[in-house]
Amino acid sequence: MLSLSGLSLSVISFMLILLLLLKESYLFVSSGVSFWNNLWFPLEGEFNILPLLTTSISLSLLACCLVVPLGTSIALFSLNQNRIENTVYKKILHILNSLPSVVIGFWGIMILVPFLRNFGIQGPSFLSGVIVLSLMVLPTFIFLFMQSIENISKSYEETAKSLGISYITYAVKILLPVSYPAILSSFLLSLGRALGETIAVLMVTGNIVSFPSKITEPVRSLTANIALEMAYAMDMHRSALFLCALVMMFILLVLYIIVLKLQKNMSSTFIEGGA
Amino acid sequence: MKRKKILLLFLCTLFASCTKNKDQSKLLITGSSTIAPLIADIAKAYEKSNAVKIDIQTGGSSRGIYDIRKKLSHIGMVSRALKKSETDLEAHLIAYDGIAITLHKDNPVNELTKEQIVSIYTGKIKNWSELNGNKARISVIHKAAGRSTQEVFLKFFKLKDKQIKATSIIGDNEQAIKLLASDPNAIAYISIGTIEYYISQNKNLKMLPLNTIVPSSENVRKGIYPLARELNLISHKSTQLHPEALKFIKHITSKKMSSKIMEYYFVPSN
Repeated sequence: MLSLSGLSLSVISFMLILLLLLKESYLFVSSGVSFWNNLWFPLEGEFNILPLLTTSISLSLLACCLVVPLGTSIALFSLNQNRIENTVYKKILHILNSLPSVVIGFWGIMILVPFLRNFGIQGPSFLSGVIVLSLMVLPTFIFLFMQSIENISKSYEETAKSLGISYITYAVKILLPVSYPAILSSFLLSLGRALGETIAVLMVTGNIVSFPSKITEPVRSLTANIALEMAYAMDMHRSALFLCALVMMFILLVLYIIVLKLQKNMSSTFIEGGA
Repeated sequence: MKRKKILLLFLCTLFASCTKNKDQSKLLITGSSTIAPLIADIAKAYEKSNAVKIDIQTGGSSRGIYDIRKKLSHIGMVSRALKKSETDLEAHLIAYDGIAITLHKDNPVNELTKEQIVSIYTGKIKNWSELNGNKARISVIHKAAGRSTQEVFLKFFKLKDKQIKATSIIGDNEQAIKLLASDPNAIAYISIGTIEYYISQNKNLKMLPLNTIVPSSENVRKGIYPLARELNLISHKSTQLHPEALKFIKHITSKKMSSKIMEYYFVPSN
């Protein structure tokens, strides 16, 4: 009964948000103003979602691609039940996960950006955005991945130990090939997290609207754009921002549907169910 | 039985939040990030002797105007004169301020003409070496749309936002100061009051003279600095101003607060 009420509450809130986005963006959609002309200059009537969208997607994709190899190795290393240090690693990961977005953004603008200046990158840029995003997404990926394969890992590890296989051989030759679907679904969920990240990205990317061409140039993500302008946007401009949010929500929905389909396949592959 | 207890607890917390605190009224003031530090300081002292809680939020002058129009706040902070089209708003002038072109102290360039500033901001001049400075790319810091510092700056140099080729866009004045303090090749335009206040504590930035006139609150007071603007508190013309808000505005525009306004390097209106 309680779980049913919890479920209906989340479904109702989701539908309410969706309805709000649809209602507020209707003004812009019905006016016929082009949504892919030039760049984003709302006060002069020019709206173009494409540079913002490509920036968000490329920032998140690149950050997640960086996170996958790093996260997989950290996760596989931490699953080793033998070593006591692994509980310490898990605690450090929990702390990194709980750091607020603003704190990491602040670190980025005060330490990362001046540090990158030594390499010829002047000021906030696409690269600092990717680095900050990977920091935010890394704990998410690791926890999701570990959750997906912990059950299988326990049973396989016992067998491997009895055969006398070292942990590293077991992790790389046995566990890793089996966990590819888990890596993929965790990657997609982390991608969703990275797409939604606002404040950290806003503080370190420079907020210039342009198609991402060079990694050393400043860019503006879709979420940062909404955060910068929503406070004072009126009428058409406000409606355009809601349409941006609607597009973002649609992309995330598609992502989650793909993950659900993947997880269905996963649970039919393993004897003991996955995530 | 357990479900009933949970339901009862839930209903109690729901109703507990419904009580109104009759002793204290609340004021919400939103808008310009230039005026916010001054108002926050005055509000802190004001709260001690008056039964009112004042909440101050930045977001740019356009947010101040939007919130007043949608009746989301009691007072708006706008760091420019009201436009002719803004007839539904009433402005209470509290101070005058200017906008200065600011560089890092270590930058060898000491003066820029109007044409040079326009060329830098439209991307025609990209390197400090073209201006007898270091051989380094210019980091152009621009304010986000909707901030009146940006609007006043663009109007003075007869530019449109589309023409600006910047390397980073910031929101509040503080972000510009942080970026400028860590990058010796950056240029930004910041409120004179904010910069003078900052320089009095950390000496690593410098303001450039405009048309040979040195930016300072003294020159703004004398009326000779060209890039000057008003600092206003706005309210809706038709709706009645909240009595506490009216009291607070009268307090700020009184003679007693003049010294406080000057502490922030603005020029009081009286």
